[in-house]
Amino acid sequence: MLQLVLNKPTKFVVAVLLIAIGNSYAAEPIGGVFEQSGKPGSIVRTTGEELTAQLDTDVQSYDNVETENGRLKIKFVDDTQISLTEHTLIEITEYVYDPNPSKSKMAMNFVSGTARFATGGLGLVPKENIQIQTPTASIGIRGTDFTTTVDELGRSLVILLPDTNCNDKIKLEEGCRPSGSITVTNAGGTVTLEEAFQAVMVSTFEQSPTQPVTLVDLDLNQIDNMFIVSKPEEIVKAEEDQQETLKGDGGLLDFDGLDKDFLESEDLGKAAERELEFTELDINFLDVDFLRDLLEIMEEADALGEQEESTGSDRLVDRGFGVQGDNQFNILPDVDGKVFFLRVGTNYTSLKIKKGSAGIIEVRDKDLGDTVMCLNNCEGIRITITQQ
Amino acid sequence: MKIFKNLAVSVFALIGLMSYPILADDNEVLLDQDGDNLVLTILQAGTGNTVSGDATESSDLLLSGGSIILDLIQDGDNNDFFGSIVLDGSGSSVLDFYNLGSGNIFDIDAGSTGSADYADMLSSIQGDGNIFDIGIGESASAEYLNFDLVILGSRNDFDTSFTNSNVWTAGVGTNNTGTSTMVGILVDADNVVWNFDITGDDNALATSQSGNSGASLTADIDGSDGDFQFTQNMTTTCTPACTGTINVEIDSENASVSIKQTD
Repeated sequence: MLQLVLNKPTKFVVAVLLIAIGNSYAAEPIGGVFEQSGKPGSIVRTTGEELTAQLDTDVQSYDNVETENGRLKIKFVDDTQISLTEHTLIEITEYVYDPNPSKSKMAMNFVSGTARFATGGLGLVPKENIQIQTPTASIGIRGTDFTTTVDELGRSLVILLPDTNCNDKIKLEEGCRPSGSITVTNAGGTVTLEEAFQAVMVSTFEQSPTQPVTLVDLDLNQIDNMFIVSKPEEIVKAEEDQQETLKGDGGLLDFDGLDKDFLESEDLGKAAERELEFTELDINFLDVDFLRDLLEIMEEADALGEQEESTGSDRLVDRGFGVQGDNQFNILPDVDGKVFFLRVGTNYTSLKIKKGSAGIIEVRDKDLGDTVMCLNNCEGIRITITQQ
Repeated sequence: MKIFKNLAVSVFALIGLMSYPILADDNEVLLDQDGDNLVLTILQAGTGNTVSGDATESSDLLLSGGSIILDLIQDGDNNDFFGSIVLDGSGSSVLDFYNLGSGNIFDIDAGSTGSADYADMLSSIQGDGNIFDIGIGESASAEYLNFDLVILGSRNDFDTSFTNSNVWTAGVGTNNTGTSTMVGILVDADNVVWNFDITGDDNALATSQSGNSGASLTADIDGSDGDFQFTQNMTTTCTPACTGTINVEIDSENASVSIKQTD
């Protein structure tokens, strides 16, 4: 008689996988709370149901998990673990498990507070299919254990952690390795962290992350929301250096249009002539196909929008969810049962509008101009946002 | 008239707490108090009661000092409160106001001639058709003020008037914005934190925070036909920039909201 012998952690994963497969047509648990301390937080389902986040509570795709004055750990079916410290909010925006790993994927928003993310060792979700988002940056995974601390303005501190067996300074000096590498990306650029306790700060979505710095005299137990109140000295220095660089690198802050008389350029006339000349070589036939493809994509998007509307989902007229290029709002379809509009610039502005509502939002920005965002059929709630 | 005039005075004033409301009507509390560490609770039950500085309501209640703990509960309709509060002193003060009826008039000026720094204020309104005039730090500083406003009722109105531009004035599909004069709460202070929870229909409220930096407003709005304007106007140059935070949650069919932030 064949007997299968499994160790305890493997049994847990197999059990959760069996549950997931066996309930493939129901709302499937994708993991559960396996450690909890202090006051339990909450898990809010996409249906609006709110559960107490206590030990053994299931977690499902699209759940929002929030701690209060307590901590918890979630283990997913692919063995990925997320640890939340006090007053932390994450949104599981998508979690798909498929026996074919290439079809599995995971996407989460780390909205606020301090969370630690450790990818599963089973390789059930390819690293390239994992998307971790903070209000100001996207984090790319290459096999890894890291923390994010997000303050109320969306500013994100990202720290790459070492292997779990070398989590103190002495062992690091003895040559312990980091847990992998991660990339931190936003509209300002990409920074790669490759050393243990290397960290970057991302202040806004537009401004590039700081240069990586290595935090010294730090262990895992020190990483919590205190970093919102008191940043590590190395990060403070990195931010100061970044400000100095922005002032002195010939960037926008250094540009003084009064220093140059553009009309004095001798080449202006010739350049203008060249601009006006039109030859057959200027015809880009690829543009025609591009335009046709673009129209097809728009038609598909419209069809998708109509489909979403017919199923009761919220939709944005002539827009998609995510970061908007014209006004820099990041729009998330479901946060606490509301459509979430967030912009983090010099000022922090957020709107949460109840799902299923209709309305129009006009944004007037001194730098970006006027834009309009329309939720569902546009009629109902009327909002103006002025940034001067 | 000075009723209380000593340091470290602890007062509990229970006015008109009767089994039958008709016996609790038309009471007056007149207060002129100067000193630190005051602990004062005023409970008025019934209708037509007044808290002010004199019997004719022509002058405000006067209250000044530091480390003041004041609780005012007006449990009934058509009560009036007229107060001028100066919160000077080394310690922070906690002021809680509860209006549990309809048709009340509530007029307070915190930090009228001296600072109201580090104050912790709560105004809880649970009734319809109340009129409020709330001024904080208009003539003096009110830094690090924490102000919670809870409205559970309809058609409540605020009397401090100021003008906002870029608010909704027309229907959807045209150039919708224009200038509007609204009433509300005005604070000129740095690092103030406001939390508003407004449930009910037809409420109208405008707020304006000004100062250097660090102002924060969180409003949770639930109701129809409301009109709200939230302004942060940072008046001083900051390094690298003056920052403000506004978070608004809306559950409404047709609320009108204007958010304006100037850095």
